[in-house]
Amino acid sequence: MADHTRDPCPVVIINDFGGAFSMGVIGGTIWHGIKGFRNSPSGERRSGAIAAIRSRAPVVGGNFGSWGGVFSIFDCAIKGIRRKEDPFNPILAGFCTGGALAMRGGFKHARNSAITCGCLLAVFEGVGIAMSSYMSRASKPQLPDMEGGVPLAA
Amino acid sequence: MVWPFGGSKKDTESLPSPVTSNEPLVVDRAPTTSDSSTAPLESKAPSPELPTFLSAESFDVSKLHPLAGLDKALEALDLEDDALSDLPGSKGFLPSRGWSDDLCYGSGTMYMSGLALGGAYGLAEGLRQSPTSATAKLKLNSVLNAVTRRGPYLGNSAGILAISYNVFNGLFDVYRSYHDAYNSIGAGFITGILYRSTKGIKPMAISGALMGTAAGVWSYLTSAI
Repeated sequence: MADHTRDPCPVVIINDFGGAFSMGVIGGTIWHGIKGFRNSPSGERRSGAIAAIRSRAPVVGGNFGSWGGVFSIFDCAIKGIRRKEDPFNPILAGFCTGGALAMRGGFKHARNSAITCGCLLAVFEGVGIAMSSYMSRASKPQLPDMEGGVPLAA
Repeated sequence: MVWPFGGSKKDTESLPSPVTSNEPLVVDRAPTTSDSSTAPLESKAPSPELPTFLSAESFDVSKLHPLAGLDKALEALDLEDDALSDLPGSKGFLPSRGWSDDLCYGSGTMYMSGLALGGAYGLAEGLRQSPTSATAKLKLNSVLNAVTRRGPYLGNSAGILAISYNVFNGLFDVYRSYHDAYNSIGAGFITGILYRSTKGIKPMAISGALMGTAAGVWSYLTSAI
């Protein structure tokens, strides 16, 4: 069914991009902060960490952000073409994203990257479907106790 | 509950008597208690386009459910602006549902603006720096290199400033339990300080003042429009 928690399609691209970018920046800050801290000599650890963060974390953020933005663009495009909302949309969008972002490295690299991203998204979607069916098992309609084809009581 | 087409015997007496009743034009789809010979909805001269049960003479509106109010205009479609949403961020120029909307949309738009500006600058630079005798492929390569050098740098910086501004704005909102322009200015000030924190006190102060002013102008503009 339609996912009403997300914003409508053209605008959600900005939302996805910004969210992915923020995740990348914050994650990159932590990762490169620790890495810069550990890889610096003893008196220079703090400034080494800060230098690593300043130079690397924006790049990580930009990579995450462009992945999320391109994925969202393809997702919206595929939804518009297919006129349906089902789990295949993100899988196809992941495939296209992997290919598009790796295109500058040649056909083989793009093909491998596309297949990898498609499989990754398929795993995500599968886990998502499993989680939502697990969550909704409590609210399934139940058959009342029956005898001879007629419900007992009530 | 009174059904408009068909009902108990006493309702059919209050409806206008059918003038021409040869055969029923409307098949009773609702279960009725009356016998099938009474066809209360046969009114005079049914219009050729509308089925008879839709013409106004054929049933008495007040006999329907009292709250139907079909004789008044359809008020339910009049949406008052105040009643649409009471979230605090919904009435401004750029509506938002909270800090996550601000964070994602703010950093997204700032990154894309920075990317567009930096990309345009890189395009001009790439075209300017490529030698005049270069082929199209070489020119394309030099343009792409300049764009990927300038665009993401400006975009990253703008996006990080937006993230920092929105994070502090959200923290001040929570801490002060109030959403006004002072949060914006404070958040902008702290962002500016952090941005130049490795360069010394004076650049920090200048940058903080600039960002605070920009944040104040921005919050004034978005609340005034």
